[in-house]
Amino acid sequence: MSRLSRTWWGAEFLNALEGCMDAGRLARGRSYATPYRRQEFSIRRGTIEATIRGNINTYFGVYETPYYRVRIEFEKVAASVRNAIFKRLGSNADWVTHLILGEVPPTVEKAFAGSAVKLLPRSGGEIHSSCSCPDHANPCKHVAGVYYHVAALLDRDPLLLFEVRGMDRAQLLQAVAQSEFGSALAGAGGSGDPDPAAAVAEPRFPRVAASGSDAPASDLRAFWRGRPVPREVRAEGHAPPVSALLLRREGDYPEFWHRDTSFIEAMAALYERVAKGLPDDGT
Amino acid sequence: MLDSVSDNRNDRANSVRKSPRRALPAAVREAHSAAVLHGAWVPDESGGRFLVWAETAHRRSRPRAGEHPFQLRWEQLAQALAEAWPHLLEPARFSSRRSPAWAILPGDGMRPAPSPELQAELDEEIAAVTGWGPWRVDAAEVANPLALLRSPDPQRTGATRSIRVGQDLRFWSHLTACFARAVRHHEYLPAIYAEESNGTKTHGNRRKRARKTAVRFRAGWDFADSMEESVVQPFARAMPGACRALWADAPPNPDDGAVLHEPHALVRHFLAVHLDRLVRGTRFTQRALKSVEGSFLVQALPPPARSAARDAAHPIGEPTWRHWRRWRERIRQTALHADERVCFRLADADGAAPDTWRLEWLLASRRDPSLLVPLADFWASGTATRPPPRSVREVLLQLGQAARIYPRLWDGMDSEAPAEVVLDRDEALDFLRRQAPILQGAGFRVMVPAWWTATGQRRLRLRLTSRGAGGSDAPGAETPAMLGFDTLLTFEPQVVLDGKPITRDEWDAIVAAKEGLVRLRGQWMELHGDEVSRLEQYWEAEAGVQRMTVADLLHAEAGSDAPEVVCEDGSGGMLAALRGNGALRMLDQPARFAGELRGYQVRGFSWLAYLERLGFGACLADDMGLGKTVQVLAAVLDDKAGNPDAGPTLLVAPTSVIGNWQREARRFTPTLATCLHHGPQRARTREAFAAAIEGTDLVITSFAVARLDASVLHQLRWWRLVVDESQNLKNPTAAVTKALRGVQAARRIALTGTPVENRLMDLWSLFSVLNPGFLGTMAEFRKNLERPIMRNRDRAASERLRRLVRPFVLRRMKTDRAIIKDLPDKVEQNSHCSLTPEQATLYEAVVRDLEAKLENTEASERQGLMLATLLRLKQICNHPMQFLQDASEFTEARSHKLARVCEMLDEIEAEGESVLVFTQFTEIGKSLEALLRRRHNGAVFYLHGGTPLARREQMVEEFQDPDSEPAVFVLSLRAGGTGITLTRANHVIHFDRWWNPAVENQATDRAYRIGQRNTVFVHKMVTMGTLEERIDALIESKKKLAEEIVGSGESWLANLDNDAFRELIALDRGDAVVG
Repeated sequence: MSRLSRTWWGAEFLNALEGCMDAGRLARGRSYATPYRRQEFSIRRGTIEATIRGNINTYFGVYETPYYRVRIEFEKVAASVRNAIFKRLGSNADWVTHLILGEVPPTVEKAFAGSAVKLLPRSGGEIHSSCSCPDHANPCKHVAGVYYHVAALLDRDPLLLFEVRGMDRAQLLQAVAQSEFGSALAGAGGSGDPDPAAAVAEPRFPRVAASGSDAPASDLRAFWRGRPVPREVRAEGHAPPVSALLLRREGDYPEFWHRDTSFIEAMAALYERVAKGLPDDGT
Repeated sequence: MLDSVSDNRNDRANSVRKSPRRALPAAVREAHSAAVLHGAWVPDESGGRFLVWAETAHRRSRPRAGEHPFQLRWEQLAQALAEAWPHLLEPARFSSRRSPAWAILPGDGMRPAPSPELQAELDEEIAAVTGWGPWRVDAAEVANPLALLRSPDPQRTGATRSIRVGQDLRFWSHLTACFARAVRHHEYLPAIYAEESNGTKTHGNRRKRARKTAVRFRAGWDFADSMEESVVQPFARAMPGACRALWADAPPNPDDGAVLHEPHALVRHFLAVHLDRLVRGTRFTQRALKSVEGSFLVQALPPPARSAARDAAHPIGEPTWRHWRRWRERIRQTALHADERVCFRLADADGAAPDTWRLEWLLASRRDPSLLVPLADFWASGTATRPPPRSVREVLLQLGQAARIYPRLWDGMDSEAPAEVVLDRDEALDFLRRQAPILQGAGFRVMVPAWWTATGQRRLRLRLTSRGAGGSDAPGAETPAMLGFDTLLTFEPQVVLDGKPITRDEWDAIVAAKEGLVRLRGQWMELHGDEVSRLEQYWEAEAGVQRMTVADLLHAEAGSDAPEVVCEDGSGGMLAALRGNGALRMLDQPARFAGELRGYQVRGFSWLAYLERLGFGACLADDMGLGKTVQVLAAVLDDKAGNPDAGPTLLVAPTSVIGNWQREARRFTPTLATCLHHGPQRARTREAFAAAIEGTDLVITSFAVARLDASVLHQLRWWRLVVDESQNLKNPTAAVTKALRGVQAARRIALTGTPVENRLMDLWSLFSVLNPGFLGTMAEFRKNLERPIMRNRDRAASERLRRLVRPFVLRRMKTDRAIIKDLPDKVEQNSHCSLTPEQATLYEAVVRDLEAKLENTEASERQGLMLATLLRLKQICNHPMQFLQDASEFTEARSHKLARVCEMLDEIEAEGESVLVFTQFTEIGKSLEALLRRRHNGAVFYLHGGTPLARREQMVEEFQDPDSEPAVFVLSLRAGGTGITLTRANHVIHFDRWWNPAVENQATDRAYRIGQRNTVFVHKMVTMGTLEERIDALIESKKKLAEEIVGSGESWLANLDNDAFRELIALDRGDAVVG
């Protein structure tokens, strides 16, 4: 993993943590963010709990693989101001649109005006962590590993950031839905989870069934010549002004793209190359 | 080698290919009888195969069981493919392999019904088509169908005369063109397909495995959803049955009715398979491959050579599929389902606040795009009409997607009622220049101010007012000075906007802004920095004058980024007329011109005369039939009147028309002394030649002689060079082109009936004779214009060339409004031709034979003798073969008439028009049909007395079908002269003459009748100096009386006395013979 987070908010989250604690200690946790280390992980009511696999260390008398319980809790937004925040969120097109698109709105902190707690942590006091390991330093490697894992999760799920601040996902959607734009967000879940078993019905190459002829056998014209293809269908048309236009509207770094380099640029290079490989049309 | 992967056991085929000369006689015969190629896409396990097979006119006497009785077998098929696409023979690009298949074809139970293309070749036909039947065909699997389908049509390239391309094969070519367009426009996406898997999953934890049906994922590609509507559906509707009629294995029982592939799925399948193969067959750079490493895309690209097994080791997981799937869905959603579509409209900033450009957001309904609602109103609508959440979500999603493309939009979103974003001047410029086209390309509607659009654009122009040089002639005035390309012109420069000079204050504002948007005279406009810098040098030199040559000026004007030159008077006025935006002064028809010029002909000849006086070569490219000959003759005559001492004009034309030139010159410009430089007796030395042309005005010669006698022609200074049918100069390195390039002439005119701008090197070659040097050297032309236009489709370059050439080419089509009003509905013209020496010898022999017999013949036999003689002479005028009846060659070289008709048919075909050719002789009809089949690309029909009624109706229907290709219809005068409607033709050629004009007119009326929307051009072939010309004169002089005098046949002729008859048939050698 060359970069720990590919979204700006994931990076901001780590930045904020670095500002709240010993950055060197935090960095030591990177290698604890792997699935091998992480035995269990859950977020319930904004509280993060995990079981992290530690190292055998005979010097400290640890002879069997130890498992440490980690618990992290962020300072919650006070219940009294939550509704105001929801209301603000729901009445700003920018914020709602970003959330619909699966992004954290860059200016979202403004919605937390009047709350003691913002979205991103600003001091160590806002974070309460504990670990069952013998290390008393804060954060220990295990806690830090969990931080990194949360940052990675945030990339995919911006609402998680609200959740750890005590703003329950369902509650948020419900409250936001009361406002004009918020109703749009509530429906943003889409048509549910796609089902691969159903997608089997759309094969790579469509199935071509046998069918009868629409025209009788005696209609030799229909059989041998068909109908003319309208000229406008065949017109050359204008080339689009930029490469890979079709996929640009979904933004760069789609979810399936785990590289740090631009998906759009990689695709543009492929597209240009493929077009060059077309056989000459003799003109 | 065509079939590099062919079946090795097939020794016969191999020997045929290795040494075509020693091919088996049967194979040769079959390969040379006409064949029609067909193509079908056959889906199979591994994707699919593109199969080509062919019908042939040669029917097999003992077909194998189930074999299609008139298919080309494999050996001949391979040969035919090699003949049709010789340039594809390198095995790396194209190969084919034997691939037997089943074809489901309509038929009568005994035989399959031939395609219309083949039916045209056959005499017999199937009486009644009753059902479907499976037939075994030898098909060839084409290894690279895209290469084959994108190659030029062999009928168009002239690669082959006997092989025709069926409409079904053409269908795939059209589809491939659309496929290629989509690929060039990047209209496809990476995709992941779910497939049922038989193996057990090897990853994931235990619980998951238990829950899921076994599915594995496969990377691939997927065309944009818009393709469904723009390509798939129209093509599926148009698909000929033959495209879906091939099956690899024993076909389903035809009685089921399920006999063909389903067209919609077949089109999609063809596109999907070829997209996949194209991408996987592309050679990517290592860098490109590296840039997608670790993503599923790796598996949609060609595998790296050493790690083909890697895919299996790194299967695409379900989460990746889910992510891709949601992403794909979102792209699809906005593309297709939205009822409301977000639009953007940029409003002008006003003068007081030049940095406040409001980019307003509006909604347009999909159902009624003209209905535009500002987003502000949309949000403000009351609770009752409050937009449903779905719409709100849709609008926000679209705005978000637009903002991803143009992030500046986010700034307008931070609001309870997002409705606009305000741009400053630079941002507005960036929006107009770059962002708007991108948003438009992504499917958003963008409205820009009128002054930004191509039509409303305001531009600074350089006005060059000419001074002194060239006098103060009005355009086309009596004697403007000779201008020529090298003349230096003197101009006074001035910068103008909207026709008014720029003031000092305005100029300061322009220079201050330099680039971008500036407000001048209360309106915005765009400035280009380079344009301003260029103008700046004129502004500073305003007091001074500018000098440039005419050629430089024309080149400067042709460039798209160049300031436009506005010439107001003097020699500039001449240029204006040259450019076609000044008034060309019409000349009067020359006093001694014996005839009446039509309005457009007066315009044409005035234009020729005008360009000539300015010293430029002119190309008159009017459509055939509009009378280019008379326009040139009028120009020559007019010039002669003003320059009595002018030397001779050298006129070069194809051999087949030099007689016509002579005849027309004699008819319309009898005062011009004309001589023919042709034939073995012509003067060959410089001295003899100079003596021969002494005192003549017009020296007519052929291309062939011009090439042979080039050295003589080059030694003289000609007053003028005229090249007729100048498409003969299209090859820049051909001897004839070089010969004419060397002719010294002060004035040059080229005539052609075919468009000159289609093939660029042809155009350069023409100009190298017409206006030498103007388009640069061949290498320069190739580098600066041809390559950019042909290879890179550079629109600016092609526009530059168009503007460069435009002043020197006058092309008018008979469908132009201005021409139509000058044209009668029917234009009848004689097309004169001469006899070849062979024809003349035969003609004289027949005449001598008659002379000998005439005196000694009884009165009762006299009529029979005369009629027989007439018949023979007519046959000789048509073609020696017809007279000799010896099955000798029906070639163009032996008959100037035939050669001329073929040339005319070429021009008609080039214009995409259809034509009727009438003859009274079935031998000629049959031979013409056979000849045209070979040399003509389009369809050829032949209707004669023996044509069955059903076939006759079918031919007429097919000829008349507006969707079919333009065609030549050969008809026997008797069988086709009445009853039928053939209004698709706007040309009628009478190959030989009938005594009775009423019969000819009746034939002409097949095309010239209700339903005809175009002018009908009637071309009557007349052989000069023979009885044909006299028949013509007779008909002309006695047109009104014709009916009474001549009745309906030739019998009246026999009543002529011997002398009158002799006179009628005598050969006037001086007129008739051209070697």
